[in-house]
Amino acid sequence: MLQKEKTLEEKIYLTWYEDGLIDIFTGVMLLAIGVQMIVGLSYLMAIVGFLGLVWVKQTKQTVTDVRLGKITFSAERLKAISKLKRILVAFMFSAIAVGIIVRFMHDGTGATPYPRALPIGIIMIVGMGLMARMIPLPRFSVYSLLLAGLMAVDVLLGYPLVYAFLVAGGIIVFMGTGDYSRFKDTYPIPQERDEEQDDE
Amino acid sequence: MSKAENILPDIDKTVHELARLKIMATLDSVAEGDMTFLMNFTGLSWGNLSVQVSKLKDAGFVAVEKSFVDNKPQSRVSLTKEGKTAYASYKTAMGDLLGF
Repeated sequence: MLQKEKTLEEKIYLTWYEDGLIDIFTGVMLLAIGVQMIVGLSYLMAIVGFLGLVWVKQTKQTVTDVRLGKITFSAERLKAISKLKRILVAFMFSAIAVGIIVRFMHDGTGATPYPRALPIGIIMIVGMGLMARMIPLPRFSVYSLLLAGLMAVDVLLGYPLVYAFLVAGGIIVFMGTGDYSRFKDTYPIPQERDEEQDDE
Repeated sequence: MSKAENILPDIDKTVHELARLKIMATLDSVAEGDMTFLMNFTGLSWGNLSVQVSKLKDAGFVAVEKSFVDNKPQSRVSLTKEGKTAYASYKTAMGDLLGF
């Protein structure tokens, strides 16, 4: 099956995601879930998520925009980005709702007949799949499959699911860091130019 | 002008130069971009980029908006309405010429 050739606009748009920041954020979130399960710190994931988003936004401005250049996408693309943000926010709130429901069901003790991390893992797998499909970032399909595979291995071998989150998170952070490093090499900080002088 | 020459479509020479074509193709994909963006995606040197953007500005095909960000000058470049029309006409003419 032939892959649809990307338009120039799509290629420019997808370059904006080559910095690896979203990969690092996703990996850190998975690590945070794993750590939360080990130390029992409630809301760690929420705190890390909030700080992570702030970091991504800040780094996009100070690293990505400076090196890649400031781009204002077309109205159609901005509309698509806005729609994507709304869907991801809706998904996040749904995930929180599911988490709360799972926490209080099963006679209120939070004890479940299945590993408690299973719903969280499924939500992360679906979330990464959504990003793979909607942005689109095909590598997030690989991340989704990685987490699913590791969770399956943990369940089959009788290990706690925390290992799946920690290993998947570590691998994704590593890959994101590699992308970030490559991005910085590919797009060095432009030398300061006197734009007034260039016009003469 | 002979009849045979009238068969071939007119190709706008301002757009048809490779560096300027790259600039217009890149700008046609976005609303606007700064010079760093253009340099990265066209592969042109800073000097050549500045010269070609000036030529496109003189032809009325791009608009250059200068501002200061953190006390540093920044130029935002975008295709004008005439530029979008010229680029679209160029694509049509090249399609007719090359038969696709």
